[in-house]
Amino acid sequence: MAKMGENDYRIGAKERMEEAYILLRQSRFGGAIYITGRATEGILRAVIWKSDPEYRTGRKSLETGHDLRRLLDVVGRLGIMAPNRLKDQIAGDVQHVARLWFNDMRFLPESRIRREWLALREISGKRPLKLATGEYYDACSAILKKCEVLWPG
Amino acid sequence: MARLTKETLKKILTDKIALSNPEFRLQKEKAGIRWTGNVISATFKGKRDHQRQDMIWDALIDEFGEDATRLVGLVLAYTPDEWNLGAESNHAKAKKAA
Repeated sequence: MAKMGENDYRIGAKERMEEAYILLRQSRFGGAIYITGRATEGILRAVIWKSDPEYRTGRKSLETGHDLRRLLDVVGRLGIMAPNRLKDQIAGDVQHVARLWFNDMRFLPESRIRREWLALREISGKRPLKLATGEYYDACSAILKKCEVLWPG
Repeated sequence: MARLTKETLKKILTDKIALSNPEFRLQKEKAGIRWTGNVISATFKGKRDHQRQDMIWDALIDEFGEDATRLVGLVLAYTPDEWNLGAESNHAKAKKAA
């Protein structure tokens, strides 16, 4: 496969976010949860690729895997978001998403994701999956939007 | 499938959502078929992101039905305050580069 670049990650993240909303609107929560987290990973990778030419040229490679907290650490070290506290603003949302999303979700049925979120006390009898998924989507969307303003135009 | 101009899309969203002083940053995707971008309006204040998407897609589906997703991609909805955080970031970068 051809090497991935800033634009691939950024446009891909936006497309995943759009698809996630379509699934959310149809109450397909398993797919919406997985794809929204993937969009978050994509936009963080886009920021890293945009900010550090050594990733673009392949001189550096990411050692983070799909760990969103470690990706945020890399973003923080780049310093790109320092001037206006954006890094601090996305940190809470990244923690929210990272607690609930993991790469192997791509294999899981919604029923298993529901059990995982139940174990994390993210959902309960009083807090249905629909509500929790909506808030999780909002956190992912906030990350995407705050990163997206780094691309003027 | 209907063709959709940028001006028509702006008018549909402005009228159907009753957007207050909206500002649009729209562009065609590389393939040249769908519009994507950002809309900034105080009307979105106090609304969660998935509710903002509901507002946008209710309007588009009302207008275009099943063609909506073939004509429009992701349109992110910002309040002016949220958008200005980005303006600060870009301003800081411009100052640094100068």
